[in-house]
Amino acid sequence: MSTQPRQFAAFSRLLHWTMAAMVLTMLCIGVAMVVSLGKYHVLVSIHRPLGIAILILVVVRFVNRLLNPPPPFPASMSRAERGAATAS
Amino acid sequence: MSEREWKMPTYREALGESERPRLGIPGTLARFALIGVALAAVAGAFAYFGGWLTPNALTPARLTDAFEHVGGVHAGFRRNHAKGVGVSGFFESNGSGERVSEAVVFRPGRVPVIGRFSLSGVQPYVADAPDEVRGLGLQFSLPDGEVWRTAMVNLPVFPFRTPEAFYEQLVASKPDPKTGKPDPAGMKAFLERHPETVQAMTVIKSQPVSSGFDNTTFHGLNAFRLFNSTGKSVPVRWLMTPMQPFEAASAASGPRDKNYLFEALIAQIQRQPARWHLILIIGQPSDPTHDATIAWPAERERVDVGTLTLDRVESEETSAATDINFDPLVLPAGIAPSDDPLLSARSAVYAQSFTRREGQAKPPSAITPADVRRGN
Repeated sequence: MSTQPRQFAAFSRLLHWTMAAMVLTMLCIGVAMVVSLGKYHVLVSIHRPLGIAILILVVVRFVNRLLNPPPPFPASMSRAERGAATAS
Repeated sequence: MSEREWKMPTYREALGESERPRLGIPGTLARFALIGVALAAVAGAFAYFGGWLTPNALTPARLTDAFEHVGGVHAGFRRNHAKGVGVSGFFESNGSGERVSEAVVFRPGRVPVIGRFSLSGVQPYVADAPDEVRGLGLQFSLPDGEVWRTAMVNLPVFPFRTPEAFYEQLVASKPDPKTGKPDPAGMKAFLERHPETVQAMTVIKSQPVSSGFDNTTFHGLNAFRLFNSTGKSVPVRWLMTPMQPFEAASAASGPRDKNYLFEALIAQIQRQPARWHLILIIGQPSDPTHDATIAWPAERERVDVGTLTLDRVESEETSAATDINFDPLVLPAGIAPSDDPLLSARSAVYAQSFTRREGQAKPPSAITPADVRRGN
């Protein structure tokens, strides 16, 4: 118990929120590029490298999880919530 | 501290989680409202970018639908420039282009080329005619793995400035089922709204049409930007000028074979490779790059950067060009798009056409492998 961290490491949090912003941006660009004539090329040229960057960060995320294990679940979390959090 | 006062730490305290005061009803509601606002903002942005708030805007799918609406759906064929043959050969650069562009294709040497000659229009079995717009799509495969694709036509300028104008004209050109011709009132109204098209058509009609594909000049139409190794950029347009001598298309409207243009091209290439000069027209900063309906002044510098040789012709059934999307924005480093709105639109619509046709079984093309073997 004593070795478990009390909260997510700063790097884990940075990674999490950066990727959240990237994924949301990716979704918006994705739907925009299929309906745009004038911005199609610009959007595709952002979509591609952004997607590859997310893929690389997913790998970084896996490695980071091994190096910086997450804190235990708060006591207030239900069994179902814990299951969902672990599965995702 | 006495024994009595000592208390067993709770689980939360053991984890270092401080006990927070419970939220009241207003506090809880405020937090839910905040979550709601954040979700609505994301959903709204998604709807905005996805075009759900502007259902009448022109999209790549709607423009492609217009081709299908005007000329029918021809499964497996390109949605425009449907009739064609594949060709291959090489481009031999003479190094003159290196001054204006660092693109590997302009270094002295030879690169393989694969291409496709076509006639414009939605009909894959249309009868060849002198005034049908002729197309030449090319893909240069560079030694460093880059490719350069360009799709050219035999018009000196493009009749439409924007994708919206192109769409309007396309819809207006749908033949009336009663007369078999487009409604003249619709075309007249279009031309009244688009004087630039009238002007471009005058330029196009003043250029004599050649007798065949092999002695046709093909124009890249849209402007691009070239970057050389020092980072200097110039606007550019390009064209392919034939080394086969010009001969005007016959004015006589006698009976012609349905595929006479393609058959003559096959015979020509089988007899002797067909060759073109690749000419770069170097623009001045004042030359418009966003308007394909206007030609640049005739005195602009022209650089002959090398020779295209096409020594093999194939039916679409066997040619690798059949599955190439001649997207004009597949460019190597050293060539970049300009601000011409047609470029991005072409890229988007070609991708749409490609996706649709590649998912369908394609019936035999007008020019079959037997036609190519037979030659002429």
